[in-house]
Amino acid sequence: MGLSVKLLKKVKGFTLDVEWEIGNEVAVLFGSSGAGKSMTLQLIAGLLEPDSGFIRSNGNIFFDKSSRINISPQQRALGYVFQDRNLFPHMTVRENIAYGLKGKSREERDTRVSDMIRLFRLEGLEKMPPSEISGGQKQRVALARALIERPKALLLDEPFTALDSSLRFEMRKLLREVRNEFEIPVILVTHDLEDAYLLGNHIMIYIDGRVEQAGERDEIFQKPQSRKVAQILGLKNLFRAKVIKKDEPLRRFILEVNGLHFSVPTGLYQDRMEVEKEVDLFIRPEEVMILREEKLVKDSLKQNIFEGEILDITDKERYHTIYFQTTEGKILFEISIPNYAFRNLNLSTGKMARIALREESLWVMA
Amino acid sequence: MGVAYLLAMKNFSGKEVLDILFTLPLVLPPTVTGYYLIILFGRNGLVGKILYEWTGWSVMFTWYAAVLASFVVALPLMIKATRAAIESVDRNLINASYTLGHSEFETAMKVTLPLAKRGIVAGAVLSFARAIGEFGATLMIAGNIPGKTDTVPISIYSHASSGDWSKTNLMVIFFSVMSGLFLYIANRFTKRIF
Repeated sequence: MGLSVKLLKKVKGFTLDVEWEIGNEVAVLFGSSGAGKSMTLQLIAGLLEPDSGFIRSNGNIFFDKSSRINISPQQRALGYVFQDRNLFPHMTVRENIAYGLKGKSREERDTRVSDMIRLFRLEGLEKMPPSEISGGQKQRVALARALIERPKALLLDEPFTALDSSLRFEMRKLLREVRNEFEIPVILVTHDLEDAYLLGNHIMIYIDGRVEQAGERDEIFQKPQSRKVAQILGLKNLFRAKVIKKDEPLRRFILEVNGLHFSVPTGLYQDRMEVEKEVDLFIRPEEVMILREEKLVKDSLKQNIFEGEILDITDKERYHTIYFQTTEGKILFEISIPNYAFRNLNLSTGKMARIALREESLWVMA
Repeated sequence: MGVAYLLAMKNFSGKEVLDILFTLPLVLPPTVTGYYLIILFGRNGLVGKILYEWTGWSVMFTWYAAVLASFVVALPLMIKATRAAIESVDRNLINASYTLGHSEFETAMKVTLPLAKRGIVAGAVLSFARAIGEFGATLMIAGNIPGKTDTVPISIYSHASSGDWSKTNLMVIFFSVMSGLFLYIANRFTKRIF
């Protein structure tokens, strides 16, 4: 089921070397530009030929170097939507969509095209040339055209990048509908974190032509495997730390950042960590707790409590972001708290406060 | 057009050699082009000989020769313009057509050429203007036989050298106006973009 690929492609100064498998779901290829994401799509669609490897989709072999199979892009007929300039400027909306159909009787073509026009809410635009419709409408036409022959997979190369944010919201919704309507693997290339987070069931992080980490969305965002992944995901509160002690009886590692000690349970990291090793420590901004002065601290929190000063507070519509600096070590934390919690805490810039980190929310990349 | 399509879309060894071969008549002195044509199509030329043996007819010093010379000299302009027009078609659109299941030929007919149409028409107009203005190569292989192979530029030359100024002036003015008109048409076609 789904799509499975192993691709090796060398071009001037760049090597793509990836292997992955996905089901009939939305998979996001995420990474900065030049990481090989678009190239992956072109290889899958057959617009480029891999140096070696294979491409298989729901039982069909599109490419296999070892048995010299290389199906043409026409016969693979995968739905492919680019960032922009998708539509044929010399055809109307209707003609563009109909171009995705092959053979078929006139009546069948007409009904199929009309179905797609309805599904993608393009009624009234049928006779317009692409130059006279909006960016969002253009991408809807491109999607309709790509899907009309019911392709075995849908490849989307930054399809929303050229759209403004309200349209992106609408397109994301549309894409979710598409996923439910057509049960096929959808591969979405993006460098937009929000797109990746909101659309991907499965995320693959591309760095320099390799898949640095692949997995379910939540796992990727909560447990990045390396500093590179954490940085590309724009994760905050990322610290370089050193393992200074293994406390056997308490089953804890003690890590040091700028003279401040953090404690994490050994269980998760047993085989990856040792004393003296340099590691990366990460805590999600919404996992940092600000302690209320009067409240007693629970035992489970006592290991990681730090004092410091609130440097700045920004209001981000649904939550507040607090910039907090520890008195000792001068470590800067970014903390997100929902508005209702913020109001209860009575915080202000310049005020001293204490934060607590649950051991389980500290994530160490070794 | 086929040659231009090959030059624009494909990568093959000898591509640049082919391009140079088809561009040469543009930069060679017309007499040199004419000389090559004589070598090829003359009664003892490579092609001319075969033609003469089969049909007993030679193209030399007929109006066909004038047409041939004009064609060869105008061809580079046509190929250059068509190649540029095809290369300017967005690669995305061609790829989109392929992924939608359309063969290369279908794509060329339905997407690439229609989108390159303006450039191609402009090239055709320009090369037509160049063709009717052909002088040197025509003189070399078609000669200057009054009423038979004297093209407008050649007549102008004849009239001017025999001092018939009134006829010369008339033809020069006619030619200038016509060429200006062709350039205007060519520009109209290149400028209007979708």
